Amino acid sequence: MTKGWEDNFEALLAWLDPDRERAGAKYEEIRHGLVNIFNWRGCSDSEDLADETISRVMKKVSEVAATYKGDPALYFYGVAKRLLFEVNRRAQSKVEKITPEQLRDTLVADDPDDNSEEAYECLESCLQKLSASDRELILNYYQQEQHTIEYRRQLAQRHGLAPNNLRVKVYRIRAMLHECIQSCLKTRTANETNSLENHD
Amino acid sequence: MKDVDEEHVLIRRYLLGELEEELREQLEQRVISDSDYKQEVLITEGELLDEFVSGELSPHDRALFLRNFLASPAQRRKLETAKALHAYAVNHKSPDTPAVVEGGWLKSLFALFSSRRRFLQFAWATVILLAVLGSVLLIYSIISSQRPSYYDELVMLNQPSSPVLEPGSSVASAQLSPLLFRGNSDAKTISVTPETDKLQLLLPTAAGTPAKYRVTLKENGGAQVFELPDVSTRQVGANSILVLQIPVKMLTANEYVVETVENSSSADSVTVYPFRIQRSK
Repeated sequence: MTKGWEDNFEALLAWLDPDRERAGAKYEEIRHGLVNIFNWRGCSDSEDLADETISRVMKKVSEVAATYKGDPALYFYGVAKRLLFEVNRRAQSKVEKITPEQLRDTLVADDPDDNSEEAYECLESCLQKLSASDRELILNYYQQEQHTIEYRRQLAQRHGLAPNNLRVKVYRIRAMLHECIQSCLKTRTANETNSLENHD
Repeated sequence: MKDVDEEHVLIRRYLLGELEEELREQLEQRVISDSDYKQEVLITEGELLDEFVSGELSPHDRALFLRNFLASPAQRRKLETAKALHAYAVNHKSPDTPAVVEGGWLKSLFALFSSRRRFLQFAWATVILLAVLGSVLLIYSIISSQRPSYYDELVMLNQPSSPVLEPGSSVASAQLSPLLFRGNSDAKTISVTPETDKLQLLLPTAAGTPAKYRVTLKENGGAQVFELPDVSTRQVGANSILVLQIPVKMLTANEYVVETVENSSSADSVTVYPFRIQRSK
């Protein structure tokens, strides 16, 4: 990393918050928001696009910080929107006409990311990493076929939570499991690749 | 409370990709600047995934979910987690999973079965079991006396050797487009008159060669009208396309979706064709 990059990064953190720790947290929060927005917009490389957005903001921060009024996060959003526009324009110029072959690919191509069975196996080990009460809560939550309000109210009561806190709690457990499963799948893929290379 | 509900609907529409650009930007600005709001969107996203996996989404929302929500690989990975959780929970269903207890008579019934008087519990259980069995038999006999005539006709119409019908006063025919791309969510409206007794749907498929499909017709509310497990494509001009012929008696003035899955495909890719039936004089 160059001196210029480090200076820009420091300037960016200082712009987000004078307290370095809070600035770091805000930076992570903004990056997470950007990744999600790119995902929800259907982008396939959301992490890279979020980093590209931050990189563009960093290059401008010394000019912008002194005069910008309002939440810096919104400036990031403006840059992300422009980037999205560029990405869409590039994509449009590449695909002018959808051929039947492309249509077929869209419909029936084997999704290389489809790891349903592996995900299930990883989930089994990830569940063991949860506390007993969290494990019970998440399983009870999913064991009800219809997610009725009444069932959720009872489940919340049973676990000593307010109904809305149950939603938050389930979201956090699910997010934790998702991270754990993704990391488990990556490890498996890496191990398989290594074993194939050793075999060759 | 109304505001909370409206907000929830707005977030769902955003995630399903049917929000106008201006509202979409407003929502995204809140996501980036308010972590509580971002969390609310992520919670709603999780609930949407659960509804998809457990088949609770309406056909309209399901089509949008497949087309827009799952557009990015990261979203498809989230679906994997939701599917795994559902499957695991079903496979490990414990007997002490709390049952839904509502107020009124259901609560009284629950209280009855919580009674320590074993004889009373057994007697009531027998009565209820007999009543349920009787009702099931009655409903089955009513349905089986009515349904086969339509269903048999449906099966006959969709044989590989069945002819492609010429549109006319008794045959309404329409070509439907698959829901694949954003901005293409309008269901085609098909008018049927009292003289129309067959509806013929031409469903262009991606496969250029003859293939077999599992075809399901669903109402807008999600209720299945029928499923045909093995429908072959038919030759229309130079093209091999899927032709679905339905007795109009099976349809009402309603919104429907046809879902097709190619039988020989290893991927479980569903193609969705929406349409709307309009009765005219």
